Amino acid sequence: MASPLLSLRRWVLATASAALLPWGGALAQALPHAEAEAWLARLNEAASARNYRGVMVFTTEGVVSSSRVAHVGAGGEVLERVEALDGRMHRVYRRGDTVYTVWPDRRVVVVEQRGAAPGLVSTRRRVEPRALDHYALQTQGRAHVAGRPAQRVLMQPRDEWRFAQRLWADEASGLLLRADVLGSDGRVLESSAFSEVELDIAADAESLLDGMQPPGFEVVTARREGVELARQGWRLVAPPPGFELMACMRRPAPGRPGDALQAMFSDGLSFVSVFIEPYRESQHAGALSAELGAMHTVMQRVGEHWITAMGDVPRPTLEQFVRALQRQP
Amino acid sequence: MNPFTPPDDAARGDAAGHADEADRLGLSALMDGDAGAAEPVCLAWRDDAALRARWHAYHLIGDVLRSEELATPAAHDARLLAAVRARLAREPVIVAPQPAPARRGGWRMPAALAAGVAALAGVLVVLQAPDAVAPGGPGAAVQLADVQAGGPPTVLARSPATPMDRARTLATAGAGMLQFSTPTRAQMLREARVDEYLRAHRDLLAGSPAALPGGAMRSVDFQLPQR
Repeated sequence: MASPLLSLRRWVLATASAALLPWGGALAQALPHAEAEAWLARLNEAASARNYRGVMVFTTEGVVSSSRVAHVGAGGEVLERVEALDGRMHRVYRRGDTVYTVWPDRRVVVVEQRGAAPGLVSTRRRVEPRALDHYALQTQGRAHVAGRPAQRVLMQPRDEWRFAQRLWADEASGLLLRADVLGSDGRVLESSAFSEVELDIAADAESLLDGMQPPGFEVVTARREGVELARQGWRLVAPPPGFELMACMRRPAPGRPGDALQAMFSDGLSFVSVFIEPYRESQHAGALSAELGAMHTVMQRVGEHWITAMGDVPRPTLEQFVRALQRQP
Repeated sequence: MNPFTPPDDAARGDAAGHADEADRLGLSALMDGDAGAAEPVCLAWRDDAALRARWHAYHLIGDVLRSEELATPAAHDARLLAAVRARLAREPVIVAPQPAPARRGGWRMPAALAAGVAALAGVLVVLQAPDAVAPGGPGAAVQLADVQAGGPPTVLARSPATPMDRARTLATAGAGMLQFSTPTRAQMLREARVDEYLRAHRDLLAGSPAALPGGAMRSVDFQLPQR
């Protein structure tokens, strides 16, 4: 048990130190806007329309978790299965806009219609072209990921409100094979990568969706209702530049009774969620700030509400979100 | 019958048939914290195995929706309950109970989770701010900013100072929001409160960073080796 973890930790350290090497000079080359846009388009197309399966490994500061991924997109409907391989066993199936999460030990299936909340279609897994307004796309030569030749690019933020990401895209298909989030000092904060991947697998929907609705499991419908942030009495005054509201919904408050508003913002590449709940002294302990890899969290009371902002962005960006959020009459 | 045994299919059907609508509504109200509904429902809960099964199912559903951290097997609940009962039975009767010493500035963590946290610790860097968060109306954020203006912000342990400070410079008016506690109070804890929000955030993303699948899984649910 110890030795593979140790070697993974070494691997994390190795990638972290590799990231500290300067990436200027002959290797790096900022792409013109049109070319960068085409590069992203290919990435997005491959992520949804290709068929692939593999094992995805996520690492951050000493944490390793992996999941088995299978995706069928060629020929219309997008089907996907993601199985956790560590920790509590569960499987997530996507069929178009419907997401099924199966919890074998609880014998429960949670079903969710993503189409119900505009902007949160489950198949939207893409880097938006407008990300190029906030990140410069620089090519960084070639490398191998999971045994496949890949093109490496750096999404270098144009300001300090966001983190850089280094992306590795499969040369043959454009499929994203690895993504690292980098701190402003170039340190790798977290990394997601295929450790093995197989492209253009057979589109066998039946075997992919096997186990999606096991007999005898309780089926629960996730309660999420798309709402308008302004109609809920909130507005943002001077939010961090570049972040647009992607969706807003009413949902059960995470980890406690009652409802919460969840508003999700994106600059095209990075995402921030802002949760708004009525403040309850019994439920909300003191303000806190937390970080896990690139994921930062700020929780605090503002007036009569409890605000939680989190995302793969620097902490000041979250603080600016909290500051920007204002009650409107 | 153990009230916390998960109902099998037959019992599930039984529960649907016998627990009448009023009881179900009462259970639901009780779960929402409506104490007015408590007494008759508790009586029904005591007498009706099907209702107990339903009560557990409701909680299970709520737990799973909120956080998989809470989704422990039903047998675990039963063991816990049995252990608590056994322990209670052994407790001496306290004739003159002492008031518990007030905990000040400490961590507040659901007791059921606290035991499990130690094994998971090690990654999430959390700083707890003092409880003196300015309450009150729309000016609260401004007040907090004023507080911050009084001194330099304490930087999170292990996080690079430069990006924050530089970004702080970008955020011109009232750079910081909160006076966070000093690094001596920094704790290496996996904070259950954060985990649940993290899950909710990841759920919506369906893959992040960028266009990678499996994003909802990462960093949410794993066990760490002891350091």
